[in-house]
Amino acid sequence: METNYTINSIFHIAKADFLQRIRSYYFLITLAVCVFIIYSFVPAIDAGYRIVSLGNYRGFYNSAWIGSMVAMCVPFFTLLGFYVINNAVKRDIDTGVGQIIATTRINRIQYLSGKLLSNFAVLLLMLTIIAFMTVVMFLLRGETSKLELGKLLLPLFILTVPAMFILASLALFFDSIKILSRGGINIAYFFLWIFIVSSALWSPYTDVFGVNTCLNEITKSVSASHPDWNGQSGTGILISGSQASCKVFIWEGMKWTPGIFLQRIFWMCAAFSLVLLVSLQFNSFDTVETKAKRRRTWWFMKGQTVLPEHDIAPMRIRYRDLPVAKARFSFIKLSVAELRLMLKGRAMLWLLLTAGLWIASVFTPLNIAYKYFLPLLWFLQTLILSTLGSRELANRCNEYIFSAASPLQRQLPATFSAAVILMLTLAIPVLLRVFFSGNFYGVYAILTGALFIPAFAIASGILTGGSKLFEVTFTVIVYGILNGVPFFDFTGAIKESHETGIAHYLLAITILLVILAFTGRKYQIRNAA
Amino acid sequence: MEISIKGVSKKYKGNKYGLKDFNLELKNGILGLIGPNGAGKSTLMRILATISRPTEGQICLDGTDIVKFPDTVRKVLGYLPQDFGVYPNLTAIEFLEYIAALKGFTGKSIKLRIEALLEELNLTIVKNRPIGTYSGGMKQRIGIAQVLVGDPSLIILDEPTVGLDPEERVRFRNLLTDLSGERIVILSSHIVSDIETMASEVAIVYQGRVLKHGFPVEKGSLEDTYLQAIASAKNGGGNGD
Repeated sequence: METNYTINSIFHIAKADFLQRIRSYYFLITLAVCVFIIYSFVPAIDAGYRIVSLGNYRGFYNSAWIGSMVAMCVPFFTLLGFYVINNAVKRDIDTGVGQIIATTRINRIQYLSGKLLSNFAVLLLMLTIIAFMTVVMFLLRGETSKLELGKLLLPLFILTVPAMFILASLALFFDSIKILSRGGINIAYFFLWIFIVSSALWSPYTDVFGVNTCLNEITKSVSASHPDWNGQSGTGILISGSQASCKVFIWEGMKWTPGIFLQRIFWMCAAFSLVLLVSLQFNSFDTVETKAKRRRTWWFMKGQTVLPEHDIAPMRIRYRDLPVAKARFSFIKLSVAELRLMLKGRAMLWLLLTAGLWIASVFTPLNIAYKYFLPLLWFLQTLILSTLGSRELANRCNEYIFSAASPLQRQLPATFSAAVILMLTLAIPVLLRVFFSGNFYGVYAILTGALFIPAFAIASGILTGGSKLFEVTFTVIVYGILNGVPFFDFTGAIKESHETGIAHYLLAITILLVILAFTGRKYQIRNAA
Repeated sequence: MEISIKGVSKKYKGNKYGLKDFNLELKNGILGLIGPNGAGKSTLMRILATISRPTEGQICLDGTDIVKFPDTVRKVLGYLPQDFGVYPNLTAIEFLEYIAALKGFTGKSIKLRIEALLEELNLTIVKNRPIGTYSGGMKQRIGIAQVLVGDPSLIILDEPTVGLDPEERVRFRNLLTDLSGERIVILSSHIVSDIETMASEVAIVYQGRVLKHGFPVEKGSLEDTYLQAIASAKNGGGNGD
């Protein structure tokens, strides 16, 4: 009887969560992105880029090669997938459903198992679309008509399904720990993901997602069968020109050894043990404790608790006695109010880091301050900026804020101005030093960056209704800039971006983003309810 | 001030109507809207607050079409939605100053008004605390304060007494009585006694239409009138407007 209840409750938690997720436009967009990824990651032979490089060789597009190529895309799915599933518990807290569940007989392990199952099911649905697309890509790009479904799809299922289970567990682990379940995890996971994917290079035993399993087997095979192979190999988006002139290597498919299965099972168990571990302390629906703990983290709220109603005397209003206010709109005062709204309630750690980097950018050599400190200073503001376009909705203030006078002409420009003021204030030391060094393109690029970042944050917030898109994309962009990738270099510090005039493109993109933000907000205002 | 609502309909997907051929003329005073859940009260209020658009019909404020020129309403509006939130990190003063700045009120006069409002709403003692620490009733009072911050001449209150204790409800009723005069107040509530006490006229709304409007409100009579009108409508009775 009790077992039936347990199975039933887990199933229904998983079912409700699964249905809630897949019945959203965002999920449809995610599926569309998956289709696009597979389409792009099985490139035509003369496409000009490769996803799997074998130096002077290329794989013959048969079932085994295409299947392995798709399986090697697992790092991308583990990045994308995390952002699809990382709010299962948070949503229950936000909607209040969690409190209802907490008053039932369902225990923590049953609840988390249901959520884990749901996370996994969502990822499996994505994987089903990917599998279907793999067959389509074989029919489109295959160099042989001999379709071998086993060779085509087994790499995907044997390597990617466990990776998805690990991802489902990891997402639930972060989601269940209060301190990690806030916006910061969107940023933190990106760096964790880089660490996990890079660690696969150390040894097959540290390959958590099974990233290198296929590539290792392929390189062994090509090395054994083709002595003239130059030994080069790699995965990722590699711009290498057409592969048509490369020699052809025929890959017959993976040899599935027990070792491969044992490795996958080991990492699945390790990930599941994280869920079990977190279930020991899981109490996210205790909202009183949640509020109290959160408040203790804000310096200006230190020691304050929710005031009981009886401590406050009832209202005794006489409207006619109130002083009359004179209407006098001031854009500057509204921008200052917006700035206060942005900065109020931030953690002391953020303040110290920002102040420290700002001061450091005055005294450190310009090269370091410009290349590293300025992007990092702006990056530290990610969680502030990411809410700008969606905070009215997130805080349920949209109905009365959007019905205030001229919201499109007043509130949105004031939000944008406040964010630009913040960006420029943080950039002042570097901006002045770049100016006095005579690098006027640098000054122009920094000013463009100070416009681009808020415009991107606000537009993505308005268009998606959330903060995730900006948090993830901006993290990737900053990571790229710190590693010398010139695209989206919003400071102009990278030599190549200077040469190609990236700032001009960014300015054009900024204008486009501002137009998108205003258009989106205009729609929101007239459809707030 | 006059509001004229003519043939207003709000159609949703699946051929469902929030409002259907809704007609009402409003003059200064307090209009109480009463009706069952899903009758269209909140839909009407949102359309009047210009955050939702009707699919048909016309609404005019002193002769100006508010669908085409929403700022006509926004300049004079104070709106309390049924389900609203606040910015939890701001204090009561900061929050009201922000709302005032949005509405176009800055300077010393608004600061004095905010202080007085907080005093009258008995929130002075907590005015420098973040609103996130407030209880439900106090947040509701902050909601009422943001409505009144700019001295609006059109006030729309969707279930304003939710979360207020009985004593506060009585005082809120007094406030509304004090508010009436040269302004239109539109108030919706499920609590018949609230409407009975506060409204100078009542409209019974059912299935997106006005079922009955313009009848005198006598103490103790509204509940019977309401139940009879709804029963009559369910039995296929006509529009009693």
